[in-house]
Amino acid sequence: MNKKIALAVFLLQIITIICFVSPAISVKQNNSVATFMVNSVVAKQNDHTFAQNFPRDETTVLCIELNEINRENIVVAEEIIEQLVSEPGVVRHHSFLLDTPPSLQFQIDEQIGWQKSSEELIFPFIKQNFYTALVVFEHDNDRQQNAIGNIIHKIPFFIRHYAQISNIHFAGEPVVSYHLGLSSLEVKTKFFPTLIVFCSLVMFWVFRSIGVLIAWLLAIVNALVVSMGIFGLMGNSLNLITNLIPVLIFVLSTAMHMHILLSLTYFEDYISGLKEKLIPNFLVALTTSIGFGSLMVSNVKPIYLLGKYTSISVWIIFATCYITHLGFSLLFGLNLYKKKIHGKGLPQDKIFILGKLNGGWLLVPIAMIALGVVTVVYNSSESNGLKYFPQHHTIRENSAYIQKNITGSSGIEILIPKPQGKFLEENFYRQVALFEQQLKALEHIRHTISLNQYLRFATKSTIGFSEYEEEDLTIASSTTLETMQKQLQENSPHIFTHFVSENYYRIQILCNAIGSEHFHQLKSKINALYAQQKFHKDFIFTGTLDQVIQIQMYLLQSMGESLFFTVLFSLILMTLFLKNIHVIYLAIIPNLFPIACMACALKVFDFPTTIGTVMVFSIAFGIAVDSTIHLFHSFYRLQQPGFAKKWSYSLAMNISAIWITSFILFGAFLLIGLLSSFLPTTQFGLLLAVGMISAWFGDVSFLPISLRLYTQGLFGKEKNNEAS
Amino acid sequence: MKRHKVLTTLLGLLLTCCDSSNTEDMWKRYANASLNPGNYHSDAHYLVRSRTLLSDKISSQALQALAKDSSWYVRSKVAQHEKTTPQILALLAKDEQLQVRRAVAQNGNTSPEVLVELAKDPQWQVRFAVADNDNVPVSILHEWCTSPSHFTKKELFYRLAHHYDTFRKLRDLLDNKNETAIAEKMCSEVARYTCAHPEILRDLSKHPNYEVRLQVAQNSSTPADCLQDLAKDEDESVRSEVIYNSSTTKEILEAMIATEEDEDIKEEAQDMLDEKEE
Repeated sequence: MNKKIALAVFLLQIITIICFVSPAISVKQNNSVATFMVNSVVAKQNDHTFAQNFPRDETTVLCIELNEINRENIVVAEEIIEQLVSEPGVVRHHSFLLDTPPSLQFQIDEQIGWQKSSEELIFPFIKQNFYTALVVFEHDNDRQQNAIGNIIHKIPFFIRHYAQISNIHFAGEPVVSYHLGLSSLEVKTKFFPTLIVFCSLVMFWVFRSIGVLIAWLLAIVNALVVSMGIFGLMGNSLNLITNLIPVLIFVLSTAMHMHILLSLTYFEDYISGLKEKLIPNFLVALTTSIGFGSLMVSNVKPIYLLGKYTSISVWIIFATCYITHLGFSLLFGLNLYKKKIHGKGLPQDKIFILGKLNGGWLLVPIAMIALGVVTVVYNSSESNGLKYFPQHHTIRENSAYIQKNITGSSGIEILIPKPQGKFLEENFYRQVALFEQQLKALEHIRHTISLNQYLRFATKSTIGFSEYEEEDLTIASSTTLETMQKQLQENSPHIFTHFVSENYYRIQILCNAIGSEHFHQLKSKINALYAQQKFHKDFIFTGTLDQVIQIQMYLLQSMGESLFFTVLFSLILMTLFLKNIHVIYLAIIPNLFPIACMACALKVFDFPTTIGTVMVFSIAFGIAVDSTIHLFHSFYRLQQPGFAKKWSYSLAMNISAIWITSFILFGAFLLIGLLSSFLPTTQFGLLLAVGMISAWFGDVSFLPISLRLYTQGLFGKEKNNEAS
Repeated sequence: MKRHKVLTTLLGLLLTCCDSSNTEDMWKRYANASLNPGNYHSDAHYLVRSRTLLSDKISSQALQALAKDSSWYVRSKVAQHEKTTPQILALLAKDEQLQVRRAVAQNGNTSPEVLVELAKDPQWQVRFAVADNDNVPVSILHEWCTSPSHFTKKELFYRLAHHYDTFRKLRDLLDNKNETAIAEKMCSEVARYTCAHPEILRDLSKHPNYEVRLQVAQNSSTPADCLQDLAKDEDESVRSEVIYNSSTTKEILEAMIATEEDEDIKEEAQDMLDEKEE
């Protein structure tokens, strides 16, 4: 190939990198529940209705533990809260001193006492020794996450600086999202550098060439920059799932490169080496992209995005591998011709013996597959973001502490269709007031915040002062009710904006962090209570907790569907390209074996099914099938009869690449799994490490047994009589 | 544009790397800000900038600059500052943040014109804070006093209880306008608060309406000299309440026993005295 063409290809590659670098590095982090929102019609409709009627902001709980509750300490606590929450991204905060009229504050102090004040207020701003504020953040954006980060950074200083306070606890869904973001950033800050160092060492150990290292890194950088650039340009953000895209690009690119580089050393000519691996790599790219593409059937958006963009990236990896060698390698050379790697130092003979094992050994993977199916079906699932952190993580401790002492911070929103009109009319008000009263009595519901609560609070604020004597608004006259609403609107118009729209009456529920079983029980009870009140239309049920539970529901469904499509399409494509129908059953056992091993590993490691585990199965199948394709391609390429010769040739052509690639992938995923304290990443790493090593074992043991039995005629038409 | 984005991102990454050292440094600056405010007016962190306002050396130029600060916390601290000029306060009165407007309403340097505007604020926290200001035009208070809203009246009376001069002005105005019923209602409510200014209680102890004097007699914050006078009140229910006031001294009770003509009251006073001596 002409040097000028090589130079042009190389320059084109550099220009491509420059063009995509800006959008690639500008991709932002976002781990809010909204990001993980399930792509279901009802969920979307409910969320849309909510957003159309009410401001979309998110509430957190900031709790200051005081040494003693008294007026002076409360003032100090309020001052600390103001200093903490005056960040861009905080919409407002609600606290005792800010929201309670001074006359009522005085009344509580003098007549009721601070300890009993929680019964008088909309929310227990003061309870035991705690002074608590509800801090409301902007919905789902960078400013929200920056503000939360800044608040968390300032907390230790205030604890040290003020003698009156002993601790500050901060919890709620946006805070969990912030910590999820931090933990998922481990991939970028810890694992990526570790991976680069680990793989560079392996590459250098294998090829002993700086040229190879540069070519490999150039191809990876190119694939990363272009893939992430496209990802960013399409307006996507990174989260704890999509953070894995760069890692996967790195790993997949390294694996493909290994096959190409070993082919180049085998043929001692760039063009021949590249041509030799063109079809298997194309097939590998096709099956891997289908493996990841199958994740697009998921209703959980980040899994869908991971599938979509990794399957696109696989083709970019394929292209950049070839472009790098047609440009950089031809231009500068790789200095690898004299390195005879094939067959050196690798136990090829011992590996070959594995293929001679009795056909009965195939019962082992079959048994493992059956065991794996049972394990997956009966494994418990977990989608509560809090449980992804270690037991003693700040966010888990803070959330548990606040839940025990003040309130649950999981949010449910109920929107009740209301009759048209500026103010609530008498009958409707009585219905909702009674409904709320019944809601409060339900297990797990800690507090309800609504217009009714503010109205009752406003009524209490004037009791004992005036001629107005009716404390219970549910039995008050319609005139009194309207007067109270008018007064509330006059004094705090924002309450109407937040809790009543033209069409809906909103009840914000704060409840404990509960699992799906308790949630469904609670939802049925709410439905039953609502039915009792005979409202004229059905209500809308949404909120953070509802969204989290829906994600959980779709997890298992995603896993089953995506794995089914991966297996189906991979086998169809292999059959089409290798022009052999028998590939279907020959490939299925060795490639389902790693999936089964991973499923059993779930039980061994005691991992629940989470957003982290749900996608590893189809990813593992997509990667595992690569080695099978390379082995199949060489096996059928040799036009000589007999299993032994064909398998020997196939091993000679591929075993080094498969061995090294499996080692790199196993090591890389194991490192990810062991280094992380963040559950989804640990699960992802460890399970894929198990998957990679068992895929290698399946390819060198069960695949040759299947091929041998096939050539002997046990599975299909007899090809020849040679047994070994 | 792209280059700018790249540079910003790289700078962001660099800042993230230095984040922990920056945080430590920020607290050092925070500690020094009140000592040398001049060096920290334009500090990157709002807590450091707000800290400069604690210094006596703060200049009016600095206050003017900090009044336009991006952080509402800094602006609220400027609005609270005793050196902040009426011009700056007028500017801050239009702030979008509730806490800033509330601080303006409470600042003694805020002009009556601005207070009139703030008295119409949609947020009650701001609106009623005007009543805490000694410069508040009495016409606003009169308007609230005659409002049909119980909440408005309750908040007004609670705040009036703390401010003798304001209370005095409003009472005079009501008297001049012959709005006796409203004035009596106000006095009666204000007299209930134990946080009421002692001078207010002293005044109200001489109120012509016995119901107002009754409230004063019940109030545990009523000064001893007023209780002494109320012990000789013409109304027997007022004299009786003085007996049960926790602030009534033995001397007052002894004087009552010596001078009281009503036998029942005398007996009650004696019982209370015995109880106190025990």
